[in-house]
Amino acid sequence: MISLFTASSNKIISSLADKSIWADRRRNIFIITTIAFASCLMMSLALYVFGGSYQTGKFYRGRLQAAVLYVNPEQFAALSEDEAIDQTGLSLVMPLKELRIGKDRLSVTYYDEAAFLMYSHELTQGRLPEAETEIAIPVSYLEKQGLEPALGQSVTLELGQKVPSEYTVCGLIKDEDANSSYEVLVSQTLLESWFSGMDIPYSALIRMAGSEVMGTDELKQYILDRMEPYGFDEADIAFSSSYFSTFDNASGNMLTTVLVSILIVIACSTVIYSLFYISVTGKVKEYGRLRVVGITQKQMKRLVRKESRKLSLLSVPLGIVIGSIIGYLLIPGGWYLPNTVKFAVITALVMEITVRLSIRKPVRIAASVSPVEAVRITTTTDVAKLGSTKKLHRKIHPIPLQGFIFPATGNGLS
Amino acid sequence: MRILQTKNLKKYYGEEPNITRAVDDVDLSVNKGEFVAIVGTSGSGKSTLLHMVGGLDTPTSGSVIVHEKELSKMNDEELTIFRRRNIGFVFQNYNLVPILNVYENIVLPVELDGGTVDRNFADEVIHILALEDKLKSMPNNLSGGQQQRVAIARALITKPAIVLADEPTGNLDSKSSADVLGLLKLTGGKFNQTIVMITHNQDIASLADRIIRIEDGRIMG
Repeated sequence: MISLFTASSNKIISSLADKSIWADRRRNIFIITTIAFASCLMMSLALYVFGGSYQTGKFYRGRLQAAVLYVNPEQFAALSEDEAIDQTGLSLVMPLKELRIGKDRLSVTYYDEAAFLMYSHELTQGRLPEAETEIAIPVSYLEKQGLEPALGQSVTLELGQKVPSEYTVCGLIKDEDANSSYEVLVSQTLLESWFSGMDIPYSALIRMAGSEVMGTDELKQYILDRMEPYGFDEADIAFSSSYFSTFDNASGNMLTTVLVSILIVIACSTVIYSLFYISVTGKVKEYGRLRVVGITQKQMKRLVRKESRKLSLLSVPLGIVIGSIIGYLLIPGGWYLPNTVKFAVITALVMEITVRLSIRKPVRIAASVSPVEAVRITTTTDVAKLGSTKKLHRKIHPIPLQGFIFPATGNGLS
Repeated sequence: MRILQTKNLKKYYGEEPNITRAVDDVDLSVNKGEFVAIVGTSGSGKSTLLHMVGGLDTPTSGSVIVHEKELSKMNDEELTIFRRRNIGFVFQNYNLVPILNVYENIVLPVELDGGTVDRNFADEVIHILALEDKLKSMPNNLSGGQQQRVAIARALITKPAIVLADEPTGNLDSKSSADVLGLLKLTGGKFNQTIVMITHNQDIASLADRIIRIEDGRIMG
C-alpha cells in the first residue's frame, strides 16, 4: 500500500522525471530508438514466423495426412466409423486417365466431398459431379481453351470406349493457374461404368483425431498402428509429404524465432544499460544537488525508474505498432488478430523486463550518490549560452587570433 | 533556546602517522535566532564542520544535535528527511536544479516532503528577495546574485531550524555580495531565523552577531 507521503511526493518525482527526460533529449532519443527498434524487431519477427505457421496451418487444417491404398467400400465404411480418425475421404489410388491437350496435362480423377476438402480445393460455382456425364473442372483451364468458364459448358474428353466423350461442367474449381497441370473430377457413376464390374482402386484419405499435438514421427507411427487391425501395413499407406514436411519446418522456425529474440533482447539491454549508466554517472553532480535539497535514496531510485518507465511507455507501443505493420506487410495471409494481440503483450512484457533489468545498476548508482559529493565538486551551475554571458570570450582559433597578433593598425605585436 | 550543539566533534581522514584532522574535537553551540559566522583560512576545516552540522557528512566521532535531535542516531532516510525539514543550505555555487525554474527550485524541499507550500509565507519570502518577476525563469538565465537569492529562498521555504551558508558570496562580485549578505541578515531577522555562515572574509564575518574562529580544525579562543 502506498503511504500518503509516497503518494503526495510522487507528483514531484514524476515532474522531475519529465523535466529530466526533456532536458536530456539527445540521450533519450537514442534510448527511445533502441527500445522501439528492439520491440519492432521482435514483433515483426514473431508475426512473420508465426504468421507463416498460421497461414500454413490454415491451409493444412483439415488436410489429409495419409492415403490408405486399395480400400474396398466395406473397409472405407469401417474407417469412416473409426473414432480415432477425424476425417475420411474417398479418392482413387491413381488418376483414371492422364490426357495431353496441347501443352496442358489433364488428370482425370475422382474425389468425394470430404476428399475434395481434404485437398484444400474450393468450388467457385456449382457442385461435384454426380451423373455420368458431369465433370468439375478448373476455371483457368476453360479460359485457356477459349471456353467460357460457366456452368453447363460442354467439354470433350476422350476417356475410352466405355464412357461418353462429351461432358457438361457442373462445378468450377478455383485455381491459381500456376502451371499447365489440371485435375478434372468425374462422378462415381462414371467410375462404375469405366471399371464395369472390376474392383475400383479406391484410396481412403485420412486425418487422425487429436494429431495437432503429435510430432511427425509419432503421428506416422500412430497411423501405422491404427491401420494394422484393418489389415493395412506400411506398404499400403502413403504419407502426405507436403503435410509432414510443413510441420517439420514449423518447429524449426519457432526455435529460430526464440533464439533470435534472445539475441535481440541481449543487444537491446546492453545498449540501454550503457546509455543509462553513462547518463547517471554524468549526472552525479545533479543527483548530489537533489540529495542536498532532501531527496531520499528511495525517491532517487523512483526518479530514475520513472524516467525509464516513461521512455518505455513511449517507445514500446511505437515499436509494437511499427512491427505489426511490418509483420502484416510481410505475410498478409498469415495475419490473425488474436496472434497479433498475443505477441504484442509478450513483446511488451519482455521489453519491460529487459528495461527494468538494464537499469538496475544505474538506479543503484544514482541512489548511492552522497550529498557531500555535490558540495565538494567545485563548479558553477550549468554554463549559460556563450552569447548571454557578460564575460569576454574569445575562441582559440587561427582566424580570431589574427586579431590579437595583427591588429587593425598592422603593426603586429608591440 | 539552543538550536545547534556539537560535542567533541571530530573528522579525521587516513591513519597514523599520515592522519589528517579536518575537524578536531569541536564543541559548538548556537542559540535560536543567532547569526553566527565561522571564520577561518582555507583548509581550516570550516566547510567540513558545516557539512557535519548539516548532516551532509558523517563525523568520525562526536555528536551533532540540531533542534534537540542527534543526527548520528538517524539512518540515511531519516537524516535526509530531517535535513530537508529542519536545515536550509546556501552554497557558494548555489546548487540550484537546472531543469527546474525559479519557483520550482524554491518549493522543491516542500514538494519532496509531500507537503503543501505555505503560499503566504512563500510570497513574502519571494517579495523580500525581489524574485517576483523571475519565478518562471530558469537558473542559467539568472545572474549569480539572482541565483543566490533563489538559493536563500529555497533554504527558508521550509522554515528550518537553522540555515547553513557556505561562503555564500564566494562567486559573487562586491555589489551582489553586499546584496546577498544584506538579504541574509534581513530574512534572518524578519523570520527569527538561525543562520550559521562560514567565510574566510573578516569583513563579511563582521556582519554576524557572533564570530567563531577555526584553525587547523579547532575552535580558537
